[in-house]
Amino acid sequence: MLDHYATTLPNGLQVLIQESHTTPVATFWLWYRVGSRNETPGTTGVSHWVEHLLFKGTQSYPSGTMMRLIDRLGGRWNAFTWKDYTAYFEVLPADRIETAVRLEADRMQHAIFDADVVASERTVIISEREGAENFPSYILREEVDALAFKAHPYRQPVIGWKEDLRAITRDDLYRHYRTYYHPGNAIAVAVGAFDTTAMAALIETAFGEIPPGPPPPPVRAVEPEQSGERRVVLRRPGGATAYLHMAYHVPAASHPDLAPLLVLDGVLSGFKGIAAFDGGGGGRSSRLYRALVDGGLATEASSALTPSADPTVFRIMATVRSGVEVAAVEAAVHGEVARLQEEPVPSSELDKVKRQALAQFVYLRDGVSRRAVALGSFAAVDRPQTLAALADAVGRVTADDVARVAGTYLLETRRTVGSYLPDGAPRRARVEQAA
Amino acid sequence: MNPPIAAAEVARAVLPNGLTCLAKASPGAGMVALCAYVRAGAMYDGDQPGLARFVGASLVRGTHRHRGPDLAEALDAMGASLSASAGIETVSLAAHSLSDDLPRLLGFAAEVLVDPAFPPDEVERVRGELLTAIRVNGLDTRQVAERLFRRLAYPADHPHSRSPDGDEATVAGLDRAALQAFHRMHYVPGAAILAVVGDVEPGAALDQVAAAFAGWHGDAPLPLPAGRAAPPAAVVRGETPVPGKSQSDLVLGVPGASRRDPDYYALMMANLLLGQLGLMGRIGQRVREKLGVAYYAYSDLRAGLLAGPWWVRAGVNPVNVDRAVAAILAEIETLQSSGPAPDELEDARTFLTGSLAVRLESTPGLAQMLADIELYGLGLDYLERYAAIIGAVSRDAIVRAAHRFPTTAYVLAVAGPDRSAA
Repeated sequence: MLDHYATTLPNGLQVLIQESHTTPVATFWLWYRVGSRNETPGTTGVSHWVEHLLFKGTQSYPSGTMMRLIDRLGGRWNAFTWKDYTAYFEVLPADRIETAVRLEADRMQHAIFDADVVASERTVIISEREGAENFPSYILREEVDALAFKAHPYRQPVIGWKEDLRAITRDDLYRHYRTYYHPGNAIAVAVGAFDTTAMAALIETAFGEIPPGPPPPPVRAVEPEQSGERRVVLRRPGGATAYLHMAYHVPAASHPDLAPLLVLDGVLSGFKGIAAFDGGGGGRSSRLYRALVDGGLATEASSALTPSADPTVFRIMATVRSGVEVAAVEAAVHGEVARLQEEPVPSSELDKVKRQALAQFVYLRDGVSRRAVALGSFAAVDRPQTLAALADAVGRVTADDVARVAGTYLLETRRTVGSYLPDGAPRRARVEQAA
Repeated sequence: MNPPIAAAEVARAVLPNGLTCLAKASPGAGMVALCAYVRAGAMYDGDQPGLARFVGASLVRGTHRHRGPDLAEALDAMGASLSASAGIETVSLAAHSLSDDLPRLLGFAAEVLVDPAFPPDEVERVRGELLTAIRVNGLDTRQVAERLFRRLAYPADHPHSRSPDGDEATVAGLDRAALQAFHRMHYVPGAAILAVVGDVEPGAALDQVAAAFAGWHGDAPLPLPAGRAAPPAAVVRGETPVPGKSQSDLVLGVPGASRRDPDYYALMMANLLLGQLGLMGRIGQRVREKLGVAYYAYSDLRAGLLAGPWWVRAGVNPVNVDRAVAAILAEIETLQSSGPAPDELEDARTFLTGSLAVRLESTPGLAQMLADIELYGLGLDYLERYAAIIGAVSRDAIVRAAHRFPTTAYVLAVAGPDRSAA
């Protein structure tokens, strides 16, 4: 279903290609194994800031010309930074995809880190952070992550702490770029209406001559085993209702328990799309929805597991229905977790979740972008083979497996519980009309 | 390149009951996607703001054949998704499933649109969710600024003068009978469009649609509300302080145009140049790239059945609101006085025509485009004519269109940290 051609260039660039002719479009992605996971206190947010600067031009494509080029070709492009990776992509009419490959090869090496541009981008990024801070659910997530991890850099927000954003220098940014932006630390993914051999040749021509670069510094931090529940209660203005965010320590994507955990996630809130951040699922028949939303306790309820390079957290989140105590929602979640541990999931329910997973693998084939995200994100945190094997692995998960992983990971001693409690009320508008 | 939708590959039929249906094959997708519109949005709320949204949110919560949880169970067991939501003008239903499940998916879509039961316990649950959402949105600075903008820019009887959320008091008081009455009056086949795209032969898809919706009957659809909005006579500024926030969100704009406005394409291109092309157009270039004061600053022309807003939106630190506003106005004035540069206009044209395939990459995206083509009466050959339509928009027409965003008479709405103390 996700058969692809894989190779590694002599300089270490990992190449994943999937030919698909259902739509006359192609996408090219470059994934770097760098994100907030690779950052240290004092310069958090540096990976994301570097991502912004890669849109500011190179010698060959001065500022603004990259954008015009993509627009003129009828394409779209963007990038995002996550804890484990930074990904850049273009989607273009298939006969124009060569431009994307050349552009990414160029900015892997030649991005200009102009001091004035760095300064102007500082305030843009602080604005991005302040926009996120306006949402109580964002602040709560940040607090939970900072508490759930005490040693591992997963505790740091991808966008960075505000004081770090004020202090990071042009040299910090450039050094970070030079340290992590090398073929040996990158994965090229192409999906679309092209010939695989021609695409492989194109990638080799564009990237083959780039020196491999030194291996990036390893992330040595290992999160120590948690010895007791951790809690944070945020009581501040800005929100109208309460939010609950729970996080349980679970293993990395490479661990064989990934598939049972994804099925457990499906039982709780519907099986999600395999591509990172794909969402979906819906899952109004799922256990969390039934218990929390049908139960009148919450207006939204979800769980999430993002496959990660290092041991990460499994999240359960709820928007508390106005007027309901957050403790009642938390108690209901504990009830659902206990049920997973104590009673095997009935076979009809397990079959339903597996059918959802099967459908998600089919939906993944729609268009080109989601396949590229799925391939690239798995390659970045583990191996692309994990993705290819995932459909089968999910199919083999038993009710006992689900109970076992629930009993192993969803424990009081592995969890962090965060709640946001609203404080304060909105005020009235002031209006003035000029003559 | 061939356009993603050509008239010859679309099957279209108007059923005897008045429902317009369209279908197109997307071979190899393995899936099917539905997009349905019913002209039953908040524009018909009358003096009960929030009514249409309440009805829309209740559709999937139970029909006369399936209890809400049973419906959810059946859809989840198919790995399918079906959701419905009311906006200002229409209710939209989006659904997708594996292609073999199309008949069942259509059956469920028909049930929720035609035959919702509004079960009392579900109605109360939906009410709680809607009230929570209204309160949450009441402290969401983007939403607060938008609401304030709508109130200041449109007369109170205009559908775009308020958000479809409605207000707390009304939503708290609406009873089941009001929901049923609204549904009976507005969910009629003559006001509805259904598009199917996927791994299915178009003629067969239309037969399945006809079978699923044959039992739908209703009165003739109501005309669109009049909705006349005069451009503002002066600059109107409003600001709502919201405690506990870091950023101010602003909305600066005027009542815009409908899709049927003779100047629509000139306006759409003026908007593209102003606040979208590249990284958010000229406004993004100035406010984000040059001044560095905003992560987002863009313009949007919300042209629908009615004249929705033409607005610029940005999020900035409270100390930078005035600078951002001045920069936005300066960019509008420059476009009005100098017009687009020749190469800029060429970029916009090639972008619009060249990007169709990329913008319509996914099956649900194609289904929505097909439904839009019907909703706005664009013709099945719309995408085949698109390049010619865009090519015919002159530089002068764009300059004239830009003047429909006067910089001396507009509405500015701001929500965020209290700036009056500063």
